[in-house]
This record gives sequence, C-alpha cells and structure tokens, in this order.
Amino acid sequence: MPLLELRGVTKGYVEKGKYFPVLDAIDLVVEEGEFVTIVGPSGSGKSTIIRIAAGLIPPTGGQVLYRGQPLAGPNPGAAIVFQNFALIPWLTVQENIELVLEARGLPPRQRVRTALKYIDLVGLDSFEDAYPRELSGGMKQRVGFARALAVEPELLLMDEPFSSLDILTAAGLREEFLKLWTGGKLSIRSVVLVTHNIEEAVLMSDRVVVLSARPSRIVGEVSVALPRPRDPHSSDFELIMDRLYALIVSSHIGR
Amino acid sequence: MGLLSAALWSTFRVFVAYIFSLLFGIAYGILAATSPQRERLMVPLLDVLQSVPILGFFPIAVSVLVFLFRGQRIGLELAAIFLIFTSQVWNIAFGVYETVKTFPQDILEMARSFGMSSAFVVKRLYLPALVPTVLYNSGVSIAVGWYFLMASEIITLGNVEVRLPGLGTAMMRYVASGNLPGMLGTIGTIVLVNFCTQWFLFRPLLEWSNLFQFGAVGSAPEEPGLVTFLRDRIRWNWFSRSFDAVLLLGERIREKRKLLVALRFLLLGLFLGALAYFLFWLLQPPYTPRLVEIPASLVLTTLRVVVAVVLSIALSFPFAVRAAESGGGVRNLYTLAATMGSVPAVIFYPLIVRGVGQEYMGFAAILLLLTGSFWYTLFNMLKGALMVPSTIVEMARGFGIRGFLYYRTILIPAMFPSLITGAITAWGGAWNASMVAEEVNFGKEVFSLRGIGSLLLSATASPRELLWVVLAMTLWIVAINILFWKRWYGWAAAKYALSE
Repeated sequence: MPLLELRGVTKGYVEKGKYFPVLDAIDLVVEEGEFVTIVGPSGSGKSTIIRIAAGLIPPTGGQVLYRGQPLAGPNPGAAIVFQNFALIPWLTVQENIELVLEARGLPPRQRVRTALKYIDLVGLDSFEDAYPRELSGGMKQRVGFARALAVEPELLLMDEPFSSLDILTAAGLREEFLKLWTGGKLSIRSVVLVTHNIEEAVLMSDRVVVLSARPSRIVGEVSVALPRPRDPHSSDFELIMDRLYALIVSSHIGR
Repeated sequence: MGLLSAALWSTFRVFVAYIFSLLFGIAYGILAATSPQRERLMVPLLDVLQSVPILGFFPIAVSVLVFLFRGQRIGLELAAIFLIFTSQVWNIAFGVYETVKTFPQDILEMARSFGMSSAFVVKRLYLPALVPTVLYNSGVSIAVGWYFLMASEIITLGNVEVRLPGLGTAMMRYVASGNLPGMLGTIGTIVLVNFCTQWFLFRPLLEWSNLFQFGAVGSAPEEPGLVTFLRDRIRWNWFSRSFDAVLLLGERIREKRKLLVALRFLLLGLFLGALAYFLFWLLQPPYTPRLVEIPASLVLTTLRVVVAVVLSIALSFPFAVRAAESGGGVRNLYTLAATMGSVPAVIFYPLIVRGVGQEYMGFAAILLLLTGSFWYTLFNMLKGALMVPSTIVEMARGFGIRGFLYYRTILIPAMFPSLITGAITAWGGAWNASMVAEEVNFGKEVFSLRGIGSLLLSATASPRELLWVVLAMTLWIVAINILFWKRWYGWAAAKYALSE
C-alpha cells in the first residue's frame, strides 16, 4: 500500500464570482521508502500540493489517501519543513522544538530528551539556548529540520527548504540531510520535496515529477536510479538533467 | 500626608481599572479576531464604544451603580473605576484585535501542521505575540486613565456632590480655596507617579517586548529583573490550568446548541421588547426646549472638535518626523509623552477660563480639547513613524530625496494610515473633553459655552432629556465615523500599505 496517494486532486479559488484553477487533476503516488521531488515554475501549485498532503487545506475535488485512508484534517503522520523556517521568535532553539512536542502531548522530561537528541542530530549542540534571531539562515533551517524530525513523522514534506539559503549553506545542508536519510536512523518512511531547482531534485530524489504552469498538471516524470552520493558532473547525472530540461521545455512549448 | 494617601487612592483606582481593561481587552480582541461571525458583531460595536464620549455616559453609570449599592461608598468606587476602565479598555482591545488579525500566516500553518489545538495556539502563540502591542497601548491607556481620574472622583447626583478621596478631589479643593502650593504639589505628585510608572515599569518592559516581535533582528533583549521575578514567584501552571478550564467551559456551553439557540431567542425577544418600550417612552411628547436645542449644540461642538483634531495633527507632525529620522530617540519621546499626557489638563481649566473670562472661553475650550486629543495623534504617529521601513528611509537618502519632496512623496504617505488612526482616536478624545469644556463652576461663578456638553450637564436632572442628549450625540458621532472616517481609513490603508 502506498504511503500517500493523490487521486485526481484539483484545487482552485473563487474571487469576484470567477473560478481560478491552481491544480488540475493531479495524480501522485508516493510509495513507502521513496523520495519524490516535485519541480515546477514559481506560481505553479507546488506548495499547494504540500499543504494538501499535510491536510492543511482540503482539495476542491479528488481524493487524498494516507495509508489508504481518506484524509480529514491535519495529517498526523506528516511533518513540514517550511521555506521561511516559521520559527517562534520568543522561544529558544530548544523551546521551539519542545513546543511542538508539547502540542503532541509528550511529558516534560521526554520533551527535553527528544529535543536535545534532534538538536544534536542536526549539529546545533551548544545553540540550544539561542533565539532564532541570533542564528544564520542555515542554522534556522537546521532548527526547522530538527523540529520536523522530532515529532518522528512517517512522511516528511519539504516546502522549498533550501530556497532562502545561500548556495554553499544550501549545498551543505542538502548533503547532511541525505546522510541522515540514507543512514536509516530516521523514523521517516518517505519524503516529498518541492523545489524549482532541477539539480537539487536530481541530486536528492528517487523520482522527479514535473509540474506545468498554472493551472498545474503533471507533465511527466523521470526516475533517478543513481547510487548516492551523486556526482553532479558525472555523465549519468547530466543525462538525467537533460531529460528533465527537455520535459520542462516541451511543457512550455505545449501551451 | 494628605497628598500621599490621596495619591495611593488614585493610583489604586487607575491600576485596578487597568487590570480589568487588560483582561477584558485581551479577551475581547482575541474573540473578535478569531471568528468571522463574532467579528461582524464585535468590531462595529468596538468602533462605537471607542468613539462614544465616555464622560457623557458617566451620569447614567453612576445612577445605576449607586442604585444597586444603595449609595454605599463601594458603589461610588465602582463607578469611578468603571469610568477609568472605559477610558482604557478599547484602545487595548483594538490593538489586540489588530495583532491577532495580522498574525503571520506561516506560523499558523506550522501550528496546524504540528497538530496544535486552538486553545494551545491562543495560549502559546497569540498571548506572547500580543506583548509588544499590549505594552505599547498600556502606556497610553494608563495616561488616559489618569486624565479621566480627575473627573471620576467628584460625582454629582442631582444636587448632591460626593467626593472620593484622591488626587482629583484634592486638586479641586485647592483650586476652590486658591491654594497655589497645594495645586502645584498635587500636579507634581501626579507627574511623579506617572514618571515612575513609565520609567521603571513600562520602559524596560517595552525594550524587552522586542523579543516577541516577528521579523525582529539583532541580539535578543535582556530579560528585565521584574519579569524574572514574576516568572519565578508566580505559579504559572495555575494560570494555565484556569485558562484551560475557562476554555473548556466555553466549549461545553457551545456544545449545548439547542439551549444556546433558545437562550439567544429569549434574550433577543427581551431586548426587542425592552427597546420598543424604551423608544416609546423616549419618543413621546412633550418635546422640551432642551431637546429642540440639540442639533445646534451638536454642530457647535463638532466645529470645536474639528479645529482641535486638525491642530493636534499639525502639532504632532514635527515629532513624528524626528522619530522617523532618528529612530533611537523615540523611546525617550514616548516616555515623556506618556508622562505629560497623564497630566489632567482638566484641573487647570477652571483657572484658565476664569483668567480669560467668558468672551474668550471658546479659545480656552479648544485648548482643553487639544489636551484631550493631542496625545492620541502623537502616540499613533510615533508608532507609524517607527514602522516606516528603514530601507525606504535609506533609499531616500541614497537618491538624495530631501526636504519638501521627501515629506510629500515618502514620509507622509508612509505614515498616512497611522495618521488617520490617530485622527480617529483624537476625534474621540476631543469629544470626550467637550463634555467638561463647556461648563465651568469656579466658586460661585458659572462660565458656560453653547454646545452639547453644557446641554448634557444641564439635563442631568431629567433622565429622559439626559438620554435624548446622549443618544443624539452617540448617533451623530457614529454616523460621522461610518460615513467619513471608515471610508478614509479603508482608502488610506489600501493605497499606502507598506507591503508589495
């Protein structure tokens, strides 16, 4: 049974009596153990798909299944890493993580233990008592990762988590996440990443799904069967990049 | 010694009223901002309550409370605290409402995605996020509370005058007996109390409140000793648990839908019945000369209020400009303004009026209205000036945009929404001051100006006439708010919003 399944999902909004479609019949299956990336131009419904999968917004049409069950309300098996970190400014690193554990009903002692474990895991030890405003962008996103991992989800949803970081920081963080993912120490079964960076998609995922501009449809997908860690300069890597480019360009010409 | 006990009594009243304002304002603001249904009812109501001259309702509140407590002192104390409360609470409620309304969307999404319940969101996200706004508006509220304290300690019931012990009563006594050292001592005490409140309480708290600001940068502010002290001493768990209990009670009540609907209809029926009877009683003849006088009096007072508001804006402008350019000096200006704003100009007023005499009383009245409105425009415009993004100021500097061009194209438009907010609150403040500006008793001499305030005072003996005057004034102010200020605010907020 797939972990997550979107069946003919549409989404749109009504403004001044007119319907504006954002997503147009999206079919997407995320198997257990899979790392799927959705790429698409800005303004396509990439983030909307993440929010629908997390159960934050209901689809206008179609079905969302999690472990075969239709989703009603926030998905308890999923956690999100946000593009703009979404950290609470008046809480320290540790308190930010403890907050979501408290919301899940963990007792105080276990909260501290779990928070410290994941702070350690993302390499933020000795920054437990720092406030988000005192951290660099890369470190803030480490907190974002630690918070999402700390609730020990099955499905990790990443909404352009590297987009607001500088190139070097983003590269370092990607590499570290892949190490954790392939290391098998995490509770996560599957990952859905949303990005507009094609190299990032090929570098990280098992499968890349290409989205068209609004109203978004899936124009095709490319599987990446390369062993990790991947070398962006290898010919196999470049071949897959080229196929992805071709797919994206054809979707633009098509309209 | 007399002054000390008077000061303690007055401070006690202001702070008791403030604590109620805080609790009520926060609850009201959060409730109004978190449900569209409630919002539709509570925001217009807030608008009305905020703009209605509280002093006009004071005689009515006093008679009700005195009746309930059969003339006991506690009834009078409650009436005084109630008056101060009504002068403080709407400002806080509105700030809370606005802050919750503009709470960052991505944080709310985060909260939902991690399964935080709405009670959890209120307790752990909304309440802390309210700290900066609530503290900023509290400074204003406390100052305004002192302003009205003076009017609240001397209560006229028909032809009996009751005095509560306090600085307001002390001042009146010194004025009546022409005791200059006494007057100066009283004013000095008020200034001292307020300066201490602002300097030792609100100033450190305001600096610390930057921690709770979304998007703030730089190192986190130090925790003031007061906060550490409170955190260690108070059993917050108890607070948290009682908060949960209140929420649970609310949910239990909401679950009993049938009962709730029935209750709502019952209340609506009772209300409509009472309203019909009330209108019948109010609208039946005879129409006494005082009622015929209402329209002309309203127009005269309105003219004075408009002059005062325009002057307030003009006088606040230079301060706001300085604040926008320097940024750092604003905290001092805020402390100074909050201290000065608390000096109740009402108490000098009889002296001034007697000095200028009946012919020039109109000018003196506008001066008094100014003291009741200037602080509102100043506080709001300072706040607006602080929120002008530094990138815009730097851009202007970088491109050499200076002088008149700078004010016309950058600074004034950037501050425009807060200027309008300031004007609206100043308009309310000036109306309020009108209630005391138009009639002055100095010893045996009586000075009087034609206007709605003096009309109201002359009508206190007859409940029906009093209600007529108060209601006519309320309707008039609310109508102007809806037809004029609301539209203007909507336009300014849309056109000059500082976001892309």
